[in-house]
Amino acid sequence: MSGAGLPIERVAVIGAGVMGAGIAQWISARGIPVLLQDVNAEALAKGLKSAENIYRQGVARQLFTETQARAGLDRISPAVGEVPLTGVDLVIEAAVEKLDVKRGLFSRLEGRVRPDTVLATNTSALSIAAIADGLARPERVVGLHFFNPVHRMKLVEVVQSDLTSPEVVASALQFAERLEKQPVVVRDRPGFLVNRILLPYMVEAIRLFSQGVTLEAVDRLMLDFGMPMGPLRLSDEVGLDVTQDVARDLERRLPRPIPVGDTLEKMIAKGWRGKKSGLGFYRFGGRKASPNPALASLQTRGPASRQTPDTWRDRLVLIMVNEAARCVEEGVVASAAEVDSGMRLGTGWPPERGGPLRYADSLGAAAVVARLENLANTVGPYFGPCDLLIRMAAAGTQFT
Amino acid sequence: MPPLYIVDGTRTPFCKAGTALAACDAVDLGRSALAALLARTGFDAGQADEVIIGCVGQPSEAANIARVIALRAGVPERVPAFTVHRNCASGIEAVTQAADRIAAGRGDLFLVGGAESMSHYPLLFKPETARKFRELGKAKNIFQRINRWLQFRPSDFTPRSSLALSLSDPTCGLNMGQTAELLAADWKLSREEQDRFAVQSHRRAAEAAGRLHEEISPIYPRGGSRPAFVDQDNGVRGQQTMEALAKLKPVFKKAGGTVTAGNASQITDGAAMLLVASEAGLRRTGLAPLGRLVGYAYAGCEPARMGLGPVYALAEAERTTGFGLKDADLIEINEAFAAQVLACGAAAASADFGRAHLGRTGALGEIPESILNVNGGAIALGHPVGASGARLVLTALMELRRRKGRRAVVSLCVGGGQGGALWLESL
Repeated sequence: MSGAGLPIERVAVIGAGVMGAGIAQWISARGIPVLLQDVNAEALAKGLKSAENIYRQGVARQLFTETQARAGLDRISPAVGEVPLTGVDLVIEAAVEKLDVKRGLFSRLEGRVRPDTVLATNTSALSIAAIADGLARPERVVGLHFFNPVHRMKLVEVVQSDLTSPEVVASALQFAERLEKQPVVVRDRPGFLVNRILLPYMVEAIRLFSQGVTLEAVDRLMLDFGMPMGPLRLSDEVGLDVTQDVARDLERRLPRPIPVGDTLEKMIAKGWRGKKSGLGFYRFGGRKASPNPALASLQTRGPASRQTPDTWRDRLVLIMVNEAARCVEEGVVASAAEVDSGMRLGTGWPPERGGPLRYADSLGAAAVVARLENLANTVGPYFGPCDLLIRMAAAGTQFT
Repeated sequence: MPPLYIVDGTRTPFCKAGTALAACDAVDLGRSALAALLARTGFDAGQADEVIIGCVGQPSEAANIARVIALRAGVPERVPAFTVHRNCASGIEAVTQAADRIAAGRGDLFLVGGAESMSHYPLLFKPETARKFRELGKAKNIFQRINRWLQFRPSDFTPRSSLALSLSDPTCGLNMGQTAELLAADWKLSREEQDRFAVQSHRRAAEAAGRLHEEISPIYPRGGSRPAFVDQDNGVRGQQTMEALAKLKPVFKKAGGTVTAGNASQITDGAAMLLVASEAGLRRTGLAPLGRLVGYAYAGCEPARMGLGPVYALAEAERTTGFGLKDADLIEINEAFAAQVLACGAAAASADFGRAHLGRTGALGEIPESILNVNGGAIALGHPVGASGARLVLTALMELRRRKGRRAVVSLCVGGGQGGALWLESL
């Protein structure tokens, strides 16, 4: 990265929801004072309590002493409403994922900070350029996408729009490193890096299920592959409504979208939103999650029920490989290695398999292309291999 | 004196001891108010020359509580801090200490205030019990230990309340309530008059709830399993009636007493903090002030009649500043006791008292109830002793601004026989 970043001594986090509170907790635990702003005391009380709980778990696991935990919590200063931010070097916005809300927030924010303050958004889905559009200084806006739970996930996507200045990217990168996170610089493309690759996989898992593969078979397959959690269980954890929103957003904005079925819509209509609502693909509430007993109506005996588990696995894994290759092709990140490390850190891709692109290398590009073409013919054209993979297959080259 | 400018201030809610803020100690209260002040002003605490905080019952675990509060509120380590104690005037003592430093050219920006957790006043062992524990600790063998345990008597385990002790005057042997009874007798203040004053305090505070809310920053008590915040004073009883107050028994004088829990200040937890600056400090930071301190005085008086302290301090302040009661658009006299505030009014209006005790040719002047404690006082809001002075300065300045008034005087009586009075101007 060219150019040195600005020193960041004071940070403000806007929004005390799960992400905002998690980010504030992590920053405070690294010894940096952080102002946590929200619209009312109730929201702040929730955010502070969740930060307190993270510290408390940290004490129980002997990561902190009681004194360190208290000092950390002391570093989070709650503020109701729009307090002056001229003393702040970096603002991280973690409000709701609605473009108009964020745009309004940033335009007001711009008047409350110094001209050299870095303005970051924790959006996981919205375009950084769209958020920055119309500001007096759009070059100050950068994505700083933390993953949930912030205190467990090492990956941070530093998202650079075409407007973002190199100095701002350098500052964000430097700050993420100071936080002892593993940043990856990504371009402002739909889904950035991790969601771009992960969402098609989740969507395809739901399709497999809707075509008659059992819930247990889908999730077991990927657990055996080495993923930390099955994709349907993951959808429940993320929230079916959130999964649906992000998947639809990618479907709208990507040039070669993965079609989203109507299974999630039907589930959401029943009030099933995943873990947070108690019901999703699984039923939550007991000591262990068990399959939702009312799922049968969502399944028909489609093409998947006539395929082998090997094909099912290809559908789930190669869809990620294809999308990962497109990320390299489009320059979303600088290298294939960054794609793989991003997927390991951001989704728990099995380290022994390296990541989707090293996995592709292990199969060979020609085999990947052949299998994708087969899927394109038998399942749907969205499996068509990307140009980069086809070129690599012809030349016999590797990603890593 | 060069003026001290009050830039801004905020406070925690004031809550009856043992209620909403019982989980917070004085450090938590002070830290919360100071951090909120820094957040709402955007002031870089690294620019402060010193932090000065009043606290009467300093926790043993936070000797020099000002330093502990400052560090925990995020004030940089290089900024020094000290604690002041002038009993109930500790909160204004913090302000006047900053004024003196500015006058002496020793600094331009100060964070001042007061913090008190009356929920957390400890219970104490008697000195004789403490001696027995020390002896026990020195026991060399089991026989000595048993022997020394046998020295203890049940009465050794009867604790002494440090709160009760701190509200007693060791020189005159009276507790604060007894000094108020003395004033009620001296000035023939009936139970009804005192109760009426108390009802007025509650009524005014209830009507001012919205205005008082502007002073408050929410506090977020820790340790519970559920999210928690407190952003309301909880001592105010807008529906307080004379009949209900009449049912309360006198606390300090069984026969013929008139001072009750209902017409005395409440025992309360809270903290209040102010950012204050010299003229140069304002220029350097570009901060806009709320008002300024133009003069002040402390004066001593008879400990057994400590409640008249404001009258002495107001007289002394008039001598040194030229400002008299007639110059005030607002008067705040801390309501330690209704009897005591009423006695101040009577003494101020008395030519005899002026001649005999204030060295004047006549009376000090009138204290009209229409401009006295217009948003209620400690009878309704409570009196977290170390914090009250800072709260009164903030309340008076904000009310002056609302009324577009020019001058206010803030005064408190002080256990041990003192008073303090501060003349403030709006800007």
